[in-house]
Amino acid sequence: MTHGHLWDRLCEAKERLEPVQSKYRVVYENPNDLDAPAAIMCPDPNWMACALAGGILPPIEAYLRDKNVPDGEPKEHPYAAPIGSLSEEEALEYLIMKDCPTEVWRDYTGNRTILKIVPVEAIPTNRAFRNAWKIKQEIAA
Amino acid sequence: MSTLNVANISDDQSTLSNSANPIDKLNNTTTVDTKFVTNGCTKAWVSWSNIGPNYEINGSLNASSITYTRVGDVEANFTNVMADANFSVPTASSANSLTSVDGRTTDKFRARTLILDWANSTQQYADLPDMQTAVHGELA
Repeated sequence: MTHGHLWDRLCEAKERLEPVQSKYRVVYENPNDLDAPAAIMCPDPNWMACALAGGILPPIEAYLRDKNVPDGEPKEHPYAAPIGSLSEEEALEYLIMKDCPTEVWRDYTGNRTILKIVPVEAIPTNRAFRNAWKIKQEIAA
Repeated sequence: MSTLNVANISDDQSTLSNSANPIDKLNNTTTVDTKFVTNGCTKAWVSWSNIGPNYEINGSLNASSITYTRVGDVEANFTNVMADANFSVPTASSANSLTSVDGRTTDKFRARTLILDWANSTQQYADLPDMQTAVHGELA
């Protein structure tokens, strides 16, 4: 194995790469918890730098297979060969599959929009009713 | 990147008294296995802001994202997950208030995510201005 452990690559990349603050946030609702407000996912700037640079992050398929591995059992993703560079859009799609619940991005069959990638400016600055936030539904005429 | 391969690290005991801290198990040793160092270092840390125009991560190691699920409830997702859910989480906030930390993990992939609940001085869930956490434990 020539690519080493994922954590070693992350440490090396942190020394070498400048963090990249994403201009986007991922907003999603949990279809299994109707009372829950919309969640806001913020990509990590060091992780985004790794995704854009390439040669550091493992393939998303390794993470998805590891989700079925019981706690304490060996995982595949720390030792998987790294993938190449991604665009910011591809990186966000990767991150949704990695960090959002599968019932949000894969299993949901309803017609309500429960997942959106939005510019940072679209997140309300007034947090007075944060626990009542929902994704605005665009209804076609 | 060069690699330093050593089995033990020797400390200079010439300036220390052997009776300086008798309850410290390493007090009378002159060498320390490097596993003490690698096992004890922080495996993940993240510092983030909750207030202001942007939800934003200010600095981190081994974090892929932060998810703000509701007021005072934040999930930190790891890039390299932990081996299991038995990790240690010292947590702090720069806000001048009490902080309640609930280090739960998810049922599906318990070592993947750290869930933190934050409360203010009146024990109400609250978004605090700046928050930090770090994780010590075994990596997967």
